[in-house]
Amino acid sequence: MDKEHPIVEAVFAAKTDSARADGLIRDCLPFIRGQASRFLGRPCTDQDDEYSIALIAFHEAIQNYSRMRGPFLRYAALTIRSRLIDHQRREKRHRGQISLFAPRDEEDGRTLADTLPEDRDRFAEAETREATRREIEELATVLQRFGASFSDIADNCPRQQRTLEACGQAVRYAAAHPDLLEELLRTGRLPLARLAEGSGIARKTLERHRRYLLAMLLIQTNGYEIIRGHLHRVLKRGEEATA
Amino acid sequence: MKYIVLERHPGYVVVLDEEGRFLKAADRQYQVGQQLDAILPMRPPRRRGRAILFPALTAAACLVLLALSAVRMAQIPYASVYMTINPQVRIDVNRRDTVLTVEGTNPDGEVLTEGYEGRGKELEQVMDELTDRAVEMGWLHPGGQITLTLDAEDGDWVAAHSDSLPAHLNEYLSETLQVTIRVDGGETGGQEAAIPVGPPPTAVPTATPTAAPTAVPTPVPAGDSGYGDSAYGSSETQGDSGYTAATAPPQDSGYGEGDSGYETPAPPEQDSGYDSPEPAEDSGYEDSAYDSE
Repeated sequence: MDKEHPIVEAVFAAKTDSARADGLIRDCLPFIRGQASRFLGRPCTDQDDEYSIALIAFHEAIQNYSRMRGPFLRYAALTIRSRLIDHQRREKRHRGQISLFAPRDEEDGRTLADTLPEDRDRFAEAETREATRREIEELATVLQRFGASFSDIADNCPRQQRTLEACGQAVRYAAAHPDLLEELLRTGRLPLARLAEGSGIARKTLERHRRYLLAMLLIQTNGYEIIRGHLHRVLKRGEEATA
Repeated sequence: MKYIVLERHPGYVVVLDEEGRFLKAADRQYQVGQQLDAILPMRPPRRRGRAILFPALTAAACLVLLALSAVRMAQIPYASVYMTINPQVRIDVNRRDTVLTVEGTNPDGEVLTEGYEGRGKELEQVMDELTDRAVEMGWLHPGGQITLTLDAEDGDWVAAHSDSLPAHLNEYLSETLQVTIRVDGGETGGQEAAIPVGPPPTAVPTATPTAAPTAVPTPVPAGDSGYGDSAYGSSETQGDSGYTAATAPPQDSGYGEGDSGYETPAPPEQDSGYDSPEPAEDSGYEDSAYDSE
């Protein structure tokens, strides 16, 4: 057999290891930018939507690649190109509308958006964002102790609505029983058996989304008020059910 | 739907939506903690693409076909055992000696198999049970005989069973009664093995149907009482008599074209000549055989 291109090995390693995926993407940034520029017909900047789409398409290509699909880079180029075409078609319907951020034809360089009355409190917004960022960093640190990252959790997240709701039910049960959360923090293990028994969700379902549940349960512990506020829909559904 | 940016990677960001989904999305220069109104989500990896599905389906289809053919194979008669006591039954078995049908092939056999369900049992078990029934119904006595005729395309099968089946039956019956068991190989094997059971006394009928009727079919002037006048003589009117006359030139040579000669000489009285001392010219046919009876 012919010797495989070294990138193929890197791609297969990156499928399961998000850190290595990041490394591979970093290594291939010029290639990705090149593909986006070729599509645009002009040099592509970091601010271009096409650039971020090309990046995510490259990541998809890593996830979906198999040896049957031929050389990796050719496959990645194809994926990027088709994803950009999709994006272009989607954007077509906004054509003919004026962008808020397009410069007005006055000389002061103000944009249309600048003429709109400001109803947002930018300072409060920035403050909230900062608080949120601190919460997220804290959560990431705790997760790291459990050997997980947000990227892993995204990979482990339920995709079907039904499964998502089942997991939500388990989370609500845990939120209503703080001793479960204490047990999680104390032992560092998910109390899956009690969770399954108490919430009535099949243990197999919970097992399959173990890491996702870990993150969701950790969010229910103290100190993540903003994230919990963001997730109020998930938690409120439980209150509706119990009421 | 609102999203919070949780983590930034070189190629994407991880966001959390309001329903508790963690999603990967395109990174448009976001910041961690930023709230978004819309994202461009990454498409989840196709876990089972067509590339895997197609061979999997093919393999599954093959398996189903194999299983079906195996089931069908089990239903195809592979060999038949004819068990004759006086009732005769035919037992059809598949390749694994599991009985498919049990059928009486003569009236007694039908009586024997009436109400008996042998399907799915082992061949030997069915033979045992049928023998038991035969004993119960009074067809099989001590000293009786059971003939097994094995009929199969596969010579090996016949060879293997022509020993094992009588051995088994002997063993099974030795507790209750002594019988003789014969095996013959049916159409293919052709082997006729007489297997007498342990103690000798009941070996009688084994030898019987041997060479006896070999020479039979000759309507020849064997010239003896057996053919006596009565048969031939009575028919005065028939030209048969001429037959005998024709014998005068004794050798059968006349036989071949005989017919012609048949009609011509028709003097009716010649019977006497029939009885009359046939000269030994017929010698070709051994009188002796008949005389013995």
